[in-house]
Amino acid sequence: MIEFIAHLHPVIVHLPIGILLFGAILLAYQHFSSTDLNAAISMSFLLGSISAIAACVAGWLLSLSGEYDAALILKHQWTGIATAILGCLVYILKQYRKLLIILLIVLITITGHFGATITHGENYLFNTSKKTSLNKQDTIKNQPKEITSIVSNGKDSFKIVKYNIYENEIAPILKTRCYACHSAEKQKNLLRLDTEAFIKKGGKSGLILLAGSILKSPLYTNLVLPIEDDKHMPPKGKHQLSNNEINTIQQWILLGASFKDQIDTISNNKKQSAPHIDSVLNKKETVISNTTVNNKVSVEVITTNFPPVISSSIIESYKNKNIILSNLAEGSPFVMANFVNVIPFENSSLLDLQKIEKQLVVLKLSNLPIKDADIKIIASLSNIKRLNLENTAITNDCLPYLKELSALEQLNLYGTDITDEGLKQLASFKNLSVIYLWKTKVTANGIEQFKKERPNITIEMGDFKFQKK
Amino acid sequence: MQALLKDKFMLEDKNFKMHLQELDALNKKIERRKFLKSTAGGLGAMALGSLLSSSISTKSFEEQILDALPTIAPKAKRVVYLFMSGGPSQFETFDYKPGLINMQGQSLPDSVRNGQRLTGMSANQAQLPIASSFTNFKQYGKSNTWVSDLLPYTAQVVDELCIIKSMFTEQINHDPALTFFQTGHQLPGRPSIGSWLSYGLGSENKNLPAFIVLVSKNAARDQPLYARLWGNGFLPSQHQGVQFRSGNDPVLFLNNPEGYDGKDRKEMLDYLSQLNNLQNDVWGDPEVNARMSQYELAFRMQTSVPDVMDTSKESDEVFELYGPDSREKGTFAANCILARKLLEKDVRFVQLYHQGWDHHGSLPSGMKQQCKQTDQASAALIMDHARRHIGNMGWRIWTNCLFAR
Repeated sequence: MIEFIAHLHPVIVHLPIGILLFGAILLAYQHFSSTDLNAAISMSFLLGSISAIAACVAGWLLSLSGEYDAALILKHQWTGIATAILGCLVYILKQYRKLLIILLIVLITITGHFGATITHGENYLFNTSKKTSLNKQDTIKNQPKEITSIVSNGKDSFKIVKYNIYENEIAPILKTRCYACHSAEKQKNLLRLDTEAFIKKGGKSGLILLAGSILKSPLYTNLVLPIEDDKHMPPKGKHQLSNNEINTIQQWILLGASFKDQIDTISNNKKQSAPHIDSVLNKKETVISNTTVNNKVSVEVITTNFPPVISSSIIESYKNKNIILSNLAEGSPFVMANFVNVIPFENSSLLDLQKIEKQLVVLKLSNLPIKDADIKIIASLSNIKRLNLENTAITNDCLPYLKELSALEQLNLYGTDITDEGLKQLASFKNLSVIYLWKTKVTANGIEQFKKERPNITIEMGDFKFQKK
Repeated sequence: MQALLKDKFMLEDKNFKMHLQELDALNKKIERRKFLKSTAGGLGAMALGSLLSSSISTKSFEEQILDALPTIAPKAKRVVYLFMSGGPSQFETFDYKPGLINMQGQSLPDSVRNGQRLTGMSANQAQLPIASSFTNFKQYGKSNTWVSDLLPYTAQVVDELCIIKSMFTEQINHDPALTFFQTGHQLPGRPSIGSWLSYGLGSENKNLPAFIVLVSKNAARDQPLYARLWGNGFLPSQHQGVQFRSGNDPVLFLNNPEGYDGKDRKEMLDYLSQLNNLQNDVWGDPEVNARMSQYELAFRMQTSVPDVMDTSKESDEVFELYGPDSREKGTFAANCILARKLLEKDVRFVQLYHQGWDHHGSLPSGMKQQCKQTDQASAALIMDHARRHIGNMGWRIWTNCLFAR
């Protein structure tokens, strides 16, 4: 509804312009012909002022969308408000009408000019050059998107691919997401993205594309900046690129950001470590090895592959089942689950966790009557990094299931019946860094054996004692 | 009872909604007001307000700095806050100043006090002499941190601590400084830090309050403590700190009255919340909601509190760790064990107060006594948390109260 009113602004603004100016014309006519038109004049100033206020409100709502140049908006906004106020004054202060109306006409003109600048761009008044046709892109005949032939040398088979990534993949993304502000229509930050030459030229802040380096290509980095960042593109409030689209741009830059057809061979048998056209074609989330790109890049690659943030309504639905989910940090997709309120404990509530398997990284099942059989259920929650099973009824027998939690880093088993035998099994857990074993049946001897195999894992035995003073 | 109410207030059976002539009139008024508010006036005022605030306000320097900092993922989910009320002397705890020994008895140079106000206690003194520490310091841990001889147990866990020596308050009297510490302002009336946490992060364990306060019984009562130090200020009242006392009645008025077996308590509370809902529909006062949630929590606490306050199942080893005091209910050491139990139960914010640190004339004996009461248990709390794996999710704050001496 609000959006609808906002979009009416361009329509409503013409009412005060027309009505107030018409009032001015009547006033002038009355001045020269001495006909009594006061009733009509008052009426037009009243209606003109009301419509001016309505235009202000609608305009303000429209400005909230953030789609326009803020500095220009500020000028247009305050001249607009001044116009509305002056309109009211013209209506109320009858004796000064003739003086005020001149001011009003000047204000309407200035406001209108600012408004038009916002919609049509600067220099619209004197710019006679024809608009470069956007439609050029559309008229390019749809080339065959992909030419593929399979070649085999007996051992391996190769796929040869010829493809114009820019034309088929990148340009359509830019067109839907960026052209609104960066093309012939508007050139925010003096940047255009509608042709190869313009993209290579960059904008006011410099070059935006360096083939092969996503870190030095603001065309990519600005997409993955936090949305609150001033440099984030598209700006907050605009339609954002999907993860797939961001991935596509990233892959294109890594592949050399070519604007021409590219030919590449892809082995069908071997895993690709370097980025490939194939990954663009299949829209796969390519894992880029650290040898081709430095660490920082791979971190950015991962950020685009975060699982979705769990909505608050889902968190609420878990809360109704007494499972407390809390985000690791504000805005983070990852959550911790706490079962402190699940009394009496039923293992069916563990099944609910499978729906949030991707986001769940911390699971607290402390002090509950958890049995070995229950552990089977959580073995599929593959992203768990910290697991609290202290003071539960588990034994060594559950450890083979736990081993499937390949991301597991911290494991709390204090107050359980784990023995040296169990500790031995923990030695094969890959990512484990801390184990809590206070009040278990593990012996000093068992720990010594374990330390030989995994010297880097910290074992907390809880045997701290103060030196007596 | 329902029938009685029905006669009196013309209650409708179905949704228990009250119809009184005056109330209906009030409802109509409210609706008309609402309509006016939400149309012309509201929209215009909203628009202008937003415009003015956006064009007038500029970000303060602090805000700009905060914006520039990278976002830090907060790790701590629980806090235990050990508040040493009265102001432990820094020269007998963590702030080693050997240079003062040579200046013993000399007047405090003006460059130190810098014109700071004097309190009523010291304003009439003819001079302000320097007093060096009466105790020795040694370096401990891998961090080689200087710790006074009065804190032998804390010295053994010093590597687990982060000691900040630069904090001060501008208030020169205890109560405003204390209020500032807990609420961020020297005047009473704002929410305390625990209330903010409860409000912002919510409670994990639905059977216990998110913010619990324990006050030591074995401390000298020098500077008074007021319940507003753990008050909710302008936040809904379910976020205020709940004080747990030692003794038979840990939470006042929680137990059923004498002579009442409590079997139909749940039923009674359900009817009460129906009545409260009714009141809420009529007045829309958020405090009604707060009261309802408190009744529900109190009911659940009738079973959860006796359980959590019972330390009889703790092993001898635990009491040994926290020191001999810990067997006696209400001492600082016993409260430290309780704090650990509460945190284990996922209580968000546990705050311990220990009074008796306001030393003027009797500092040497007073400091010895106070440190003895708190040193071992504070250190034990840290180690007990570490082995139970509560540690890396919590902060511990051992704060000093006041200005320089």
